[in-house]
Amino acid sequence: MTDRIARMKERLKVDKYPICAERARYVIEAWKQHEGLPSILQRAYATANYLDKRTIYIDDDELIVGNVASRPMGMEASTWGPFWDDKDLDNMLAGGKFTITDEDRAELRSYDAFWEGQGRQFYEWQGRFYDDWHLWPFIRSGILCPPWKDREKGRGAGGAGFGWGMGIALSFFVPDYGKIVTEGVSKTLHDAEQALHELDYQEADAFDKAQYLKAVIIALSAMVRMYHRYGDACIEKAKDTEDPVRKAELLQMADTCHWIADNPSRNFRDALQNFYFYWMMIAHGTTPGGRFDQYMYPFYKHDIETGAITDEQVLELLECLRIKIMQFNFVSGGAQQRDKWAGMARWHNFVICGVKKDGSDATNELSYLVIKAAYEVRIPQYTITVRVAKSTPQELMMKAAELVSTGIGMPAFVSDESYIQGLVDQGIPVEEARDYALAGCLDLNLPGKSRINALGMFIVPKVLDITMHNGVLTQTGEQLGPKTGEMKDFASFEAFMDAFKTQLKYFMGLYNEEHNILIRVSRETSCDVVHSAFTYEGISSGRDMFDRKMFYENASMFNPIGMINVANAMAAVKKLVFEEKKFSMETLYQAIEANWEGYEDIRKQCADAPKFGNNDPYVDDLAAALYDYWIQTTGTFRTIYGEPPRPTGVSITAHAPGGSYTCATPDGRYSGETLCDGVMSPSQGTDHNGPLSSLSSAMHINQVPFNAALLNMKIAPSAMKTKADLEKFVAMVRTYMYNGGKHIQFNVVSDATLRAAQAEPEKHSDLIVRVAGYSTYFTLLTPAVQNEIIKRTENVL
Amino acid sequence: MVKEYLSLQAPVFNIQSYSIHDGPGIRVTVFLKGCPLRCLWCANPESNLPTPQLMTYASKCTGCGACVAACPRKAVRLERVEGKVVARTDRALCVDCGACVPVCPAEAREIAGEQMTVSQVLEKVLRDKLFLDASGGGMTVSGGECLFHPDFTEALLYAAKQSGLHTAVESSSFAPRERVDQVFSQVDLGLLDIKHMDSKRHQELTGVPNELILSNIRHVYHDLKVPVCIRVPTIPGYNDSEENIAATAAFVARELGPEVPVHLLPYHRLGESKNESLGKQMDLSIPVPSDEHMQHLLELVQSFGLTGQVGG
Repeated sequence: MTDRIARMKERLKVDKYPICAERARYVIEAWKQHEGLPSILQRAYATANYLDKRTIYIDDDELIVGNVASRPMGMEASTWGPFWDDKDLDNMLAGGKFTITDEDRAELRSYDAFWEGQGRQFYEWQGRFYDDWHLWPFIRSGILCPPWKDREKGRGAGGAGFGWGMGIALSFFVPDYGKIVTEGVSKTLHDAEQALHELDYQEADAFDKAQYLKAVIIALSAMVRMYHRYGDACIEKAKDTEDPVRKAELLQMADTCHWIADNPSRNFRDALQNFYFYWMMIAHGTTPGGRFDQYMYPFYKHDIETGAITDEQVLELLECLRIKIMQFNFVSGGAQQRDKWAGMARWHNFVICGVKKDGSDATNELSYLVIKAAYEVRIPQYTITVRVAKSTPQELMMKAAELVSTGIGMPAFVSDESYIQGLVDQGIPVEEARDYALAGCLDLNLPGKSRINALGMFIVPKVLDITMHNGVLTQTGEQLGPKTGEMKDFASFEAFMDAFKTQLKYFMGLYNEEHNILIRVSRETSCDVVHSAFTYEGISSGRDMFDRKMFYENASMFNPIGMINVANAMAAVKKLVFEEKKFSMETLYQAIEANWEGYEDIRKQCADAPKFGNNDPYVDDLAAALYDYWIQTTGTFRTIYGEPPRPTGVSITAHAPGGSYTCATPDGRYSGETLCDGVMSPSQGTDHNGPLSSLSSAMHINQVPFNAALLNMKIAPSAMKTKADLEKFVAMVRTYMYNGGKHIQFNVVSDATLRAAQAEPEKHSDLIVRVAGYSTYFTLLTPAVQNEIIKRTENVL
Repeated sequence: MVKEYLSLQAPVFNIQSYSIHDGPGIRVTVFLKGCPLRCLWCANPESNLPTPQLMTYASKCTGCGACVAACPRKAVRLERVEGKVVARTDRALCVDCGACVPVCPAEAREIAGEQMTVSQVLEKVLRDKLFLDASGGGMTVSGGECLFHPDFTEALLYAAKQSGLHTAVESSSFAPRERVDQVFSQVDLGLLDIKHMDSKRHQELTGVPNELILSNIRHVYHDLKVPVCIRVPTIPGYNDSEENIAATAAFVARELGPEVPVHLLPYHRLGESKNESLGKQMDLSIPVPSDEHMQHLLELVQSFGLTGQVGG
């Protein structure tokens, strides 16, 4: 790590993150000016107004330019809804991590009237479609986490939040980065102008196309202007700089900004700045980096071959990029939401390695440099995922293992075999399938050719709760699901399982409707031509991405949380009630109603029943069958684009709040206790047979149809000390990847360290752990999530 | 080999998956119960006796008293310790029957040791076969002392080899010669302990002298031609003197050969809490050796022309 990087890293550490009102100011200003225009145009004007007027500056030392907020390490108020009321705001400020000036607070308050009763907010749009008889009770129930409190306030604090980048739409998709880094935005801008020029208004859809293309032109030409502003800012800064070396750097950066505003990239620096500018534009939420080592490689290779750049310089640039991305802080939602998005996590996932479109191995020099940059800088973002193919070099895997052993929580590993097969099975040509990248933690996307809009956290054990209560939601007493029978009346295990499946299918139908509403509302409130223009046929189709089916259509993802709890519960019921007849369904029901109080012996038997993650076919078969049912049932629904939703498996941290309102379950879990995380991970503390058993259990499930299948594993530092240890670790990862595993990620921190950090957070502020799909600082997590990480069985020796 | 070798039984107290420090590759290590030695620092005191033993965990105990009611010999009673009510087991009365284990809601009690057949053990080991094969690993039989159960161990190793697994044993080498011959006929790698080079001191520390051990090690390596690796559990204050480590290294270099690696295994405290769980008073207060000390001893070993490492 160079001195420059060390200084930049130091500047990331601030006592408090400033909350800023600038983005809100310019976005709302434009919205008011363009009231009445179609959403797509109104939003393009807002983007342009913000880009033209926003504060820009060049930081000391940096080689990639672009400030995300108007103040260093700042967080701009989001434009998704009214800002938190003063009580919420004070509540957040009381945490001591944020600060806001009186002027900015007053300004944010002045926008309250803009939102009040105008029906502009995302949840207000959603709420319009929630009929009283089935959707509203479902939304309120918590089967989707988090539950809505009331129709006026949605999930709590609206969509408001602070932070992220400059985008105005959720960035949960992988754009065509190859196009972006190669061409910049000007080529696409000119294509849009040309297409608008050629429109023939004899066609009915020409009018819609005209609006879309105009919106593209408005937004992209503002981007071009902003690139030039940054170029000018670099020149200004150079004038004030005495140091000739820094002066030259600034002039080079100025040249880059001015050049790429109007021309295609000439070299690695141009391509990287192009990447970063666009990334800033779309970063609003988790923002994937796509196959970074692939689309950047031609520029790297060219510059290295011509001697224009050295590996050391590339490494420093990659480290600068890591630091830039760490500046995208974020906090959102109400208290529960803040729990759910524990820590200031950003799941900015960059993918490396795997195979190329022609099937040959894709690992290159840049793949190694991406790992090295993370190894040297040791900050949690961006996160890295290694696509593991049979051809992935052992040397790369060893470097990756070495990075894992630092405890930084990355890279994660995914299986090329499983992901590519999954796409081919869905009808995608193999050459296209081989180009997959990941959005969020690990969700499958084809760059520029797919998207994810709706990914609700479906709490499966809540459906088990409702099944055990004959379709009644106990919190309210209402008949939420069909009447499938009282617990005491189930005469066989199959009858109980059928009742559960009936309930599950019913609620998955509502889930589908909710997702379709969400997608349709996103079109109104979140469309962004900056996204759409850089998708496949983004200009030639003349349509916003919300108005067309994507090449690989995955707008709706069906994501089961806590299925493993249900599998464990089913195993206990099957074995203890129906096979061994230890107690009756009626007694079990009473025990659950009493939250096991007075029924400790029954709870104990339930807790000792077979548990997923121990390579025990008794329960693994049940888990596999339940997941198969989930996949098959998912396939029976249709999104508004006419394609089925896609099954996936990521829980982020919804398993904690999801468990908080789910009754005691027959796996021996207490009411309110957290659910199992991930989709393939065992319940915390129930894997007693070591890591390989967890993997073997997961391999028992057909993971291929899943667009993601999260498996968390904690491993003790003592198991990753020597080269031989790392070789064994790599052998384990490869074996899982080649035998049905889809994804695996590791925490390498000892329990003792975690407990010490909990007790004395101030001494461990740089301790990084991995929660669900992302790495974050441990001390930023809520105590509940901290405890859960500690509880995950540590695999020693 | 007896015909019904798959149904031979031995008491097993742990089958450890993803063992990465007990031989090449990823291994499954099978721990047998029963050992003729009584090393003062034993890391697995629950392995000493060949019979099942009750282990209790005071930190988990909630003082509910379910065990008191369940005990047929009235060996358990509730006591107040530092303001907290916990169950205390009178080891003089307890016969390790395990009646208190299933009733404990806090998982504060367990029985260590279970009679298992060769085929039961093998079935568990083979569950990890994909990983063992991919890493060049296999199965390691440890203990306790595997030579304490020669028929079972031989049969298990044979069965593992039949399934294509690499086999290793971790052994004290303290057994009659015919038992050594029987077991090592099925061994691909011997991980053999030398705890002290001075026989008298060896007896003080482990309860047995070392002549038979050293002679068996020579026999295994030279006569049976089984590759071996010498392991020295390095216990501060007991066997970690430069003199003893030098003597050990000299033995390996002279009597075995410079190609035999030496592993210095630093003492760890895991056994202490296990002693407490077994109701044994064992306060040895042995410190964990420093990294520097271990490194120093390793260099000493290397000065004899040997290859070595700290840890398994």
